[in-house]
Amino acid sequence: MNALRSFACPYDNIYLNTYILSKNMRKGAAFFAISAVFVAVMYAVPYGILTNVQGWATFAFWTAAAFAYLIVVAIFMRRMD
Amino acid sequence: MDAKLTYAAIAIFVLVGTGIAWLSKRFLHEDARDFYAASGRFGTVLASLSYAATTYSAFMFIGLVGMAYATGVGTLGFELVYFVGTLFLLYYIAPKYWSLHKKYGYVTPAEVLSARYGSGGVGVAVTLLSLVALIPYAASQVIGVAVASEGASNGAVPFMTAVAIAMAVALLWAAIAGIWSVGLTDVFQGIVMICTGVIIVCFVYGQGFSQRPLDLAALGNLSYVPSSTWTLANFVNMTVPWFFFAITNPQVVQRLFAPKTKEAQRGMTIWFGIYGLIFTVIVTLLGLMLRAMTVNGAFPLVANRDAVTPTLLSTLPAWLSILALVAVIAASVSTIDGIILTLSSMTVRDVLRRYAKGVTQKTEIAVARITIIAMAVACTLFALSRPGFIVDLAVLSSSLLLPQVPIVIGMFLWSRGGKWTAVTTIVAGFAVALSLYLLQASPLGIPPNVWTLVASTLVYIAVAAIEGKSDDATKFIEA
Repeated sequence: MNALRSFACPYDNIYLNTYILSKNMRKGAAFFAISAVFVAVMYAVPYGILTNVQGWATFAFWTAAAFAYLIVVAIFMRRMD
Repeated sequence: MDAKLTYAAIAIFVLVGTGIAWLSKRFLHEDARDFYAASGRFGTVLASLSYAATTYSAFMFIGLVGMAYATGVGTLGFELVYFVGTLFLLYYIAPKYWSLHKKYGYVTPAEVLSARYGSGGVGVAVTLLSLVALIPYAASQVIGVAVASEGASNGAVPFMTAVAIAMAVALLWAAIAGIWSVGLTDVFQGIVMICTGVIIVCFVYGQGFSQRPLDLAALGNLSYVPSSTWTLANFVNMTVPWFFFAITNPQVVQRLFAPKTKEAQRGMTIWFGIYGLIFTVIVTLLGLMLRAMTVNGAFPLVANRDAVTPTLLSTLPAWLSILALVAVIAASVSTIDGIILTLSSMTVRDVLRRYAKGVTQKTEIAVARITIIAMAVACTLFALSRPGFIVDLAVLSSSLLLPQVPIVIGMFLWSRGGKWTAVTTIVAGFAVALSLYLLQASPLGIPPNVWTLVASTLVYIAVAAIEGKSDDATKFIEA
């Protein structure tokens, strides 16, 4: 039994490492995709939809987008292995 | 506020800060790794506020307030793209730098690049690039203190005196206990900066908008983009180097070594984000409020945008003017001392050690001090020539540092490329950035900083493909 366990442990560790790696890679890819959307939106909305809209709209949009991104970063950071 | 009161305020600030710097000596272990990188012993609060105070500088209190006043809401977008870019990069890069420091004991960002690309020559190239590129940025901090002191004292504190005080304080606080004195004074300064920012915004709002609410629509085309300043091309040009600030500026990269645990490093990123968002919004709002007050006739029209905050200081009550001046000094000094410390560490470890084998600890310290003094003199001379607007100087620095982007990102993603890849990328990128800046050219209508980024990335990929796989790449990719 012990012999079997000593054989199984390295295999388990490799499996575990591979599992964590792929899980981290998935999280990293998801974070990249969400970030790309945020960055694109931070350029596109004020220079597209909000063009010539006077008042607080552009200010409020950029502030809200940055705040939302901070929340996203905090969530991903807390779930990081 | 008269000169005596201004000097008294500065003296109190310097005494308190020097006291904190002196107390920080008890944490210092007498070795280079601890002097420059705290041996990875900073907790979350110290790491967060030190990172924030080093990042946010006179650029914010003087440059960004003035820019928002002169060019409108596009300023907020410009600074928040930096904010998003920094958080994005810190998510991926901060754990890797932290892990490399813990495993292999790297102390400077250039050491990491030298190890990955297999040659000390890479560290030399990065150090030389940083020495040249950071002079405008450090000088802009000094200019910030000087114009704020002039404004707060109504000209009684001369520009040159204010420059000398700021440089002397930065040198002193960097020399006392290295990163420990810089970090702990950063905490003090970071708290002063954000508290003062909030107090000033509340005060100005109370003064200017108690009768009628602040309506940005009164600013007309300053309340949206694109505007005459914030064309899409200019917005992209200004934000590209700013987006990558967190990986191109060595003084903030070196801070990534300092957290003591993974949790402290993650906490640093999140708390920096909270601090940065609040600070950015209040500073930009202050500039827009002052502009709205100018429209209402409650604040004078200021033609030179770097003179907006000094003009505000000259109109505030004495107690608040003193507080604001101290906050500007804090913002400047917390950045300059960080830059000086990082550049001196890079000069000693990445240049001196390569060319002078077997140098004693005493010689290293002497060279570090000479570098610090040479940087201080160069920044002072640059500042005295009053070369341009603070924001423009800061962006120029980041533009010149931009060629590092592909070699830093490539280090963690690609196993190809060695010393020739890194050196040719830096040389080619720097040549493109400097040429386009001097010629004020935007070939094909594409912003110059985009050209720099594209050119350096293409050179990196092409040379790396030829140079082939690097034996040392795996440990960086898997860090």
